[in-house]
Amino acid sequence: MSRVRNQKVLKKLSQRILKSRKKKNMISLAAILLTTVLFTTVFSVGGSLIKSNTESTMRQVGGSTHAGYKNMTQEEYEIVKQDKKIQDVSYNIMVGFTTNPQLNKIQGEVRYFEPLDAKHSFSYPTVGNMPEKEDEAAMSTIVLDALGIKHKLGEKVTLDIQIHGAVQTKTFVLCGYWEGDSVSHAQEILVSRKWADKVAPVETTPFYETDQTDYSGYMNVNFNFSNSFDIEKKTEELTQRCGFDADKTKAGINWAYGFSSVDAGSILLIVVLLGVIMLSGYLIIYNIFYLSIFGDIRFYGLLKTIGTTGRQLKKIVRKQAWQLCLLGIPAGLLIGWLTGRFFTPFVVNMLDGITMYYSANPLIFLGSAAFTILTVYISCIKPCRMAAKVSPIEAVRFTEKRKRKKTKKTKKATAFHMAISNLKRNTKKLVLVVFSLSLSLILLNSAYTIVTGFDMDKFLSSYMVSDYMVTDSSMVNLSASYVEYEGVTEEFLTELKEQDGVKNIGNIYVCGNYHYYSDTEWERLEEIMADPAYADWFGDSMLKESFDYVREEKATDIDIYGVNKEAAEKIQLSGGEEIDWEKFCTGDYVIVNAMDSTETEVSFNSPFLKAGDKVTLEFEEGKSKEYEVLYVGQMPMALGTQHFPLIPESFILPDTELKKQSGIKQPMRTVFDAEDGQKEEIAKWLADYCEKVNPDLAQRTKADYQKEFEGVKQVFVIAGGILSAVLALIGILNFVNVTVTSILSRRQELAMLAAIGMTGKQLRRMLRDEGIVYGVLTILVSASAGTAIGYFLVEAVAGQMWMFSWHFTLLPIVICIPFLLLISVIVPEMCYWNMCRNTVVERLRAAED
Amino acid sequence: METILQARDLKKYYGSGENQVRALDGVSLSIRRGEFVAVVGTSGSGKSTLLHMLGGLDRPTSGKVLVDGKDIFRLKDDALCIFRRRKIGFVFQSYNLVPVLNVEENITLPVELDGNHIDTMFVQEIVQVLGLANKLGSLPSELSGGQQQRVAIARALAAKPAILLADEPTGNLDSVTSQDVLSLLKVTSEQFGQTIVMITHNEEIAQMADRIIRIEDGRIRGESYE
Repeated sequence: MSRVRNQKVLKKLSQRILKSRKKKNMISLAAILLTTVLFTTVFSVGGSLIKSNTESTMRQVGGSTHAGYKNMTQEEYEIVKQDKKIQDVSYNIMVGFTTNPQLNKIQGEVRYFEPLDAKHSFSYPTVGNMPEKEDEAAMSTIVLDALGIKHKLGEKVTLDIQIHGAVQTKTFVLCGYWEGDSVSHAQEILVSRKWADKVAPVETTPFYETDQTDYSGYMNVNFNFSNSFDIEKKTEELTQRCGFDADKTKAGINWAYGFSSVDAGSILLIVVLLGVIMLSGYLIIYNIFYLSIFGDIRFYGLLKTIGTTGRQLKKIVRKQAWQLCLLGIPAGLLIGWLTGRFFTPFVVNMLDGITMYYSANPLIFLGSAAFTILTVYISCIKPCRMAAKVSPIEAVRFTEKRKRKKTKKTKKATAFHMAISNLKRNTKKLVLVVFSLSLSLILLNSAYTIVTGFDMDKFLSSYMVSDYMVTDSSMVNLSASYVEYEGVTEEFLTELKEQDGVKNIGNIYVCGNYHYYSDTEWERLEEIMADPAYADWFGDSMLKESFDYVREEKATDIDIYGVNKEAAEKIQLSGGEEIDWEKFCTGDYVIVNAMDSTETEVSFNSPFLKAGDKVTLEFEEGKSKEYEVLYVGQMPMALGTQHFPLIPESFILPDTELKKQSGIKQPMRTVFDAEDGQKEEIAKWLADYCEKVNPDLAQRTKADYQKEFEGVKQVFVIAGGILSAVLALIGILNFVNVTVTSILSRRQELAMLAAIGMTGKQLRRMLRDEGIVYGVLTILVSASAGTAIGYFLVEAVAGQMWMFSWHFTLLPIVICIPFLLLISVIVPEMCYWNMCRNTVVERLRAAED
Repeated sequence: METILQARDLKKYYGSGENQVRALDGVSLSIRRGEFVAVVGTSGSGKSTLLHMLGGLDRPTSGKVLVDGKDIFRLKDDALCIFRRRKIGFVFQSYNLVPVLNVEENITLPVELDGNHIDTMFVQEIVQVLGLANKLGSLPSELSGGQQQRVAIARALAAKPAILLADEPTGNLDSVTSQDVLSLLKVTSEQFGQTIVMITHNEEIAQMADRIIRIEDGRIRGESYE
């Protein structure tokens, strides 16, 4: 068969068909638009999330290149530079670290940067230039602020810099600066190549041959690959190509790239969302197209009679779909992107330490369009097949086929029985509508389960065990490079005591020490390490080396807390014991924790030691003391260091004892409550103090967390609500569509029934009963199979959130029942009235053409 | 004259057992090129079914239809469809025009579906003969029944089919218009050398054919030549 040139006529036909069916097309168009909007929203929120995550991580890491080699010699750099598969190669030379006391909280790194590398490291002057003269330097406003220097070019900046182990003091002229980013781990200070060459000339000995403590004079080489896919492997290959020893040459991979920056939960959530959208889009588009073709079946039959082949008919149907896509998709992309922008802040705010960026990545639009097209394509398969398969003869007398049963009981011809047998004519339609209505109910129920399942107490318990908490700001800044563990000042504590209405002031001190295990302690630890319950942790291959080291040394880092009486009362003791403060504060006793207390749950099945055991704790300067274990107990997560060390063992002493033994003077955290009625005043005073009097202090109040909790909850209320609403809309549209077409296609039959004496009341009753069957089936499906689907959905979305606990509920479905039944009565009723505008005779005749 | 259309022992049964309906029960006939045949029978006699079989619209339970000696039911659906639009023109009682296309587009549709160039001269000639020249831009809904049927005839002729099958072409028309349409049908078929098989239950109209085939209960009951 030769290829025929009939594209034009097919296009003409499909366009004319589209034009002549404006109303139907509006529904199809709306369906395609809706699907595109949903896809684009998910993609743009996802895209913005990835971008926010990537950008924030890049800023934390302080670099945007894909990977880099640390501590290279000039010779090594030349080898890397020659490689053809990498691009944007640039480097910086480490000169030294600042030691000015004002910069204690900032890791100030003095380097010479190539301009490109400075840009990649977010350390390129926005005001002024890169340093060129020997005494020129450029730095961020954060460094300038810390040094108390005005943001003005030409200012003198004196820095103490540790170079090759010795501190040099040098006064520079400020030649450029940029807005600093408090998120990044370190602040770069740029110096000229001339000065760098003078004080720290590029080394020639490979770094791995030195004792690896002096970084001065080594080059850090950064570069990009052609794309960011599997950077790790690409870097490994590069190391091989360059002939470097992978064990000795340190390659840094920018973990801002790749999927590793998005956790599995979010990916699952997005996959589930895409699935739901695709399914709902399919349901509505398929249904509309199916019914549209179904309604026009005679027309397609006619086309076939006069010689249109099945393939041509398929094309005619598809072309209609594509033309609708051409209109619907661009509009949907725009609307979807805007809704995505609206939702992004809610989602990003759920994640800690991430700054929000909106993404307008073309992939978002390509992806959404592709998914919509795929959905439309899949939705069209069956309607196309139906149009192609139409038999020219049957098309002329097409009505819905009735499947004949072998035995047919004679039933009473009541309206209800007629309604039931009418529905049986096309069970597929019934299933489709019931399924799409159920989907929205199931989703609503799931969203409700999630929202009501959020447990505020569970949420708060890991953050707050009191009304207020004060600590050093570095404790709450996740990206701080230096953490101050005794930041609550005497001045603050003195003022706090003077405030009216403050009570229960608890102080928690901490001292981190290297702890050598005694033989009995070690035996106990071995038992814990061998326990299959903790195999996930101790068997982690990434940590194997570290654990081997612990085993070899029989020692590890531990936290020793010191608590005052008020803080001690917050400690959870095994068996729910009350602490005997008098005894504990003598200083001869210690509280030890258990292996199985986690962030979310406190239990004491695997204590590191038992009450009555003896343990020797080491303090600074070789001091040590033997204590007797008084209780097994756990410092609440909210009061602890919030570290997760290799061996999560910690001890608690009275504050007086800890202060006596270690050099610790100031608390890590101070917590307190307020009298009712004074909570707000105190919150205001505290916020004021931490902002104006001592900005190094950070404060948190229970109210803040309650607000945050409400925020998280709101995201689910909004997202769940809107998704359910959209699905409900889809379900109702499907229902309306099915009802309208089923009544239209039975116009003649209904007119005939009216002609032979079925009253309008009986007719309406029959139609209404049909509607009610849809409603009742939907409720049954949602409440039975729906709960199982809902359970998996909820587990997938919220299962990993520790603040969530699952409760069985059908409340939303129960609430929806009246509405659902109302809709299932109103829709057929409206269709009936619409039909009744014509007389019986007109209807009989109309059906004949 | 050579035989162009032949039916051999055509049978079409619907249902089974006691409920079996024999719409066609062994019909054999042959029609020569250029002949004008009328098939006459009462309602339910099987004449429409016969026409559908002859045109390849429906497949028989058994038996063959040969067009130019070729068994058309050996073709697959799409191939049969293409065969139909090249060899056979249909005219129906209910005109079956495509409502969204205007008169001219309706007439040229089968040719265009075939991807062929339209023989404009030929189409103009048909349009002239059928008196549709000033209606080319109208939509079917703007035409009277007689005009619509003339468009249907023009459409059937436009692809220059060898055979024209007409199913009660005058069934929806008054007697004056019926005569007009039929005359046109006859004139055009003579002019363009086409074979016509027409179904009717109207004896008067049947008289205009070269040959009348009578069909009853799915069997041929008699033939007469005018």
